[in-house]
Amino acid sequence: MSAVITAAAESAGRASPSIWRRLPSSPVAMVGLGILLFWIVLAILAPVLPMLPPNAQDYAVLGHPGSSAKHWLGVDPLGRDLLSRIIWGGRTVLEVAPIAVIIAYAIGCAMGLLAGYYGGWVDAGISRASDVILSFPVVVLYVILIATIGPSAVNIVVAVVLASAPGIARIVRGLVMSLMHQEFVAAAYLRRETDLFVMLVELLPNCRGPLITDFCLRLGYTTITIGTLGFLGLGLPPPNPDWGGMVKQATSMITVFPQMSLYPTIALVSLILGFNLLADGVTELSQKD
Amino acid sequence: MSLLSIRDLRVEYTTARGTVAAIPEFSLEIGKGESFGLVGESGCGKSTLIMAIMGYMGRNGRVARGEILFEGMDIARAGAEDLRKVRGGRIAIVYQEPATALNPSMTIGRQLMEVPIAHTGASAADARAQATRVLADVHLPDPDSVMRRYPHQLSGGQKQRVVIAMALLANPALLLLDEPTTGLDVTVEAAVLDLLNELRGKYGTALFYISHNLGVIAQVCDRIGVMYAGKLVEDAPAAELFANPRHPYTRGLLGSLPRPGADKRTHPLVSIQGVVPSAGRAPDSCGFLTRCTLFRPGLCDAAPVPLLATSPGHLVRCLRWGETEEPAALASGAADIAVADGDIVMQARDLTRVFPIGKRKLLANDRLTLAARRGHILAVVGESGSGKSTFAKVLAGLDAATSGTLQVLGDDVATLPVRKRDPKKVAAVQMVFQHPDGTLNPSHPVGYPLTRALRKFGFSADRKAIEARVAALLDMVRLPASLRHALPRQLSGGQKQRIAIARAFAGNPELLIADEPVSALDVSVQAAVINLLLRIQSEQQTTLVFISHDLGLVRYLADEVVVMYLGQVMESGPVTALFDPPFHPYTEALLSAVPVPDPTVRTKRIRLDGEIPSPLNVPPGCRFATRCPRKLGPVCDSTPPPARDAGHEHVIHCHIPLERLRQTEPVFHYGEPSDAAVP
Repeated sequence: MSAVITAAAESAGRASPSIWRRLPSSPVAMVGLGILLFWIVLAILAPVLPMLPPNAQDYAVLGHPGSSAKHWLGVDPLGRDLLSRIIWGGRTVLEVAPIAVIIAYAIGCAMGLLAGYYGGWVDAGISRASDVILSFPVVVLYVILIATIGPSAVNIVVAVVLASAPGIARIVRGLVMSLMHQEFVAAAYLRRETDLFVMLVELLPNCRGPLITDFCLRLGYTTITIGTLGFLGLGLPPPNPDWGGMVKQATSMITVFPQMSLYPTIALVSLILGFNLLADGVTELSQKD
Repeated sequence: MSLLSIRDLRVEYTTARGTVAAIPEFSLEIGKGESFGLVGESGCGKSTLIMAIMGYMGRNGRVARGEILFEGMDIARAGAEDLRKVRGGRIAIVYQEPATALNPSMTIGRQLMEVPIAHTGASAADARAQATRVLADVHLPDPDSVMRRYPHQLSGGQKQRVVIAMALLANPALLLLDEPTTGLDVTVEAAVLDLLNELRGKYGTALFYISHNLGVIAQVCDRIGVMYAGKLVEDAPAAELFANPRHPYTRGLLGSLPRPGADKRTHPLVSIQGVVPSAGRAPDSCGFLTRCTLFRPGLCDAAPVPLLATSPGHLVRCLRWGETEEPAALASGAADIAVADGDIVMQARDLTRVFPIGKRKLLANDRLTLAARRGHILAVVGESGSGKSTFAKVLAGLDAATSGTLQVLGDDVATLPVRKRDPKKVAAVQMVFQHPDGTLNPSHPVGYPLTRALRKFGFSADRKAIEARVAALLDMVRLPASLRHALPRQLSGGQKQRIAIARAFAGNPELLIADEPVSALDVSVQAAVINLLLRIQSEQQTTLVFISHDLGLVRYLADEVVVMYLGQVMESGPVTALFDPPFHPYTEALLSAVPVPDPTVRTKRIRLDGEIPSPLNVPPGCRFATRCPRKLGPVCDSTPPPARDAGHEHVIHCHIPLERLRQTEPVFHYGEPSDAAVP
């Protein structure tokens, strides 16, 4: 096992597919990356920025909740500073989404590799289980899950992993099945490589192209999911700032103070757009290969 | 007046890296009814030229200079409406891949009928009659039933006949053929070439035939042009070109091909050094100078080299053409039959591999019995579907046989995949695969499979020792050690196959299986890789099992040959015995189908009818009985043939008595001009 990992690390270290290095040549990807970096920098700097605390209430401005020198973007229906809540809310999304997607990838890749490599009843078992999960409407699945296990950051991760892993497994399974018949895999067998080695070193690295695109897209979907869950009241428990929850809270006042729901919506949309543009750019670059 | 006249043509492509001249300067005349062949390796601009003649350059291509006059019209400057009338009407084209040339969702009949309806405004009934007639002309049995079928119901050879029929329907003045037989089996290829020669006489169509295969061109063309780096480097009548090739590139191409009567001891293949430069990268003066052995600084690289006439009708683009020496005469007739010696390394007895397909059984290998001796080269030949690749997989341990025995280095490994075999003997049996693009993992640098193989074979635990051995292996296959850090996509096809050879030889194998190792490579590269493989094989006294469909190559390199058909051995024996009578009728037909790159060699003409039967439903008697031109009678259909021993371990599985097989006329006659090349 350790030999497998060493070999994988060695080859990964030396091989430079460097789709990332060619990223600057795609304007679409650069715009996406710019938007993402904007939010990432804000999220990292949130604790040191000279902002009001996200949960502090300012009842004095509730009569005029719009922009002011003190509250640049105004306040929410409870008098909390919108700018501060948006930045802190971004921090949550940017923590939860990547963690959830990375775990989903670890599980999904493992499932897909096993199903595609062994075929037969292993494939049948994994694929049917995936089909069952994928046949639920995603939102219904989330509502059932979170309503059962309770809203928290950890449970959002659990829900996203459960809903995403089968889709990832399906992609990996298809790629593995087409790669299995390549001659370099036969050459590995002639060296008596183990199944684990063939899966992790010979097959998985060649799934990279489609998976990188899917990874970026899936980060976008997960951001949507987190927003949706927040809007349905299944996001982070209050009073933690949560973009979806902020939109929901302000909907009752949408005709009077539309900015209260507009600003968190813009934040959400821009982040999703960032992930999608990056995915587009990566796809475009990998097709140029 | 000539039919097609290309004058001073320059074709450019706009790419991300600027403008590239795929064809810097090209001139050519083709007369009415003439058959012109254009030879060159991939990347020489042949396909670009064909596209230019069709007026179909794509978005980023354009004719920058010159003209393409066809029947007086300049195609390079013609409008869309004029081009529409010419394409498919006056000029037709047959592409390499018949499977993609036909629409899979339309019947053959509808696709064929479209041509006369579109080009001559024929009525449906009239179009149907014309289509049926032309299908009969291309010798498709039962044209009416073919008209009702869909492309997937036809074999590759039948599809190519349909495509040729479609091209001829509008009775074009010029037929462009872009490697039309490249994907086909050799017996099917021979039949298609016969068909082209016949139809040319019947329809009076001029042929413009593009191929990388000089043997194929020699069968069909009166005049041959050689293209290199987008320029015509030699242009001569076919017989003259083969007798007196003048350009060093032409000579290199011919030297790269094994000729009948030549073998590795008497006539080693001569390869061309280097590779074809990418489009637009060749020097302006002489495109070939980077690979030329006659290159003289100050002369060859001074100014663009013009086409010079060496004799009437023979043009060559080389300043030193007079210094190219006369071609060596070929040895003819049978060489001595080599005495078999050396102990047996591999012995298969009644080896059978059955794939269950539902309730039916696919017989891929049926009671194979064959052997290979230490240090010898055993060639396994046969067309696609003969089961030769299945045998290679069973031998390597990538698949397991259903029954029978397979002794390899003292163990019976018939039913043992590689993981169940003796771990100490893993390095001793290795394989070189067919596809340069699939043989190396695209994610890992090319040094990685070598390092990994050495580590797995227990060569040494010391990193430095392994590094040194990797460098030695790369040196053995004539590649610089620095290449080990490159990724496979940075290598050419030939370089990838060299790495694959180095990988196979990493553990000093005793038995090497090579499954069509050069069939995907360009001719000049093929010769280099074959020479390399043979050198290492003879240095290390490795036993080589060489799987191939190329009988010319097999004749050149093998010591013993096994001819397979539908999973069974038809004939086996020493190579020198196999290429002369007595023959198995199948071997005779295979030999007769080989396109010989030499018009002075006359080939006896034997063509097989029908298609190879499905391995799901094999004939009960002799496997070859359904297509055999020398079938005796019902006995062939009902009883498996006896093994007839012709001496020197030469065994023929046939009902025909040995005496009658011995009386067969040889397939190749040397020294007389071929009637196929000069019609």
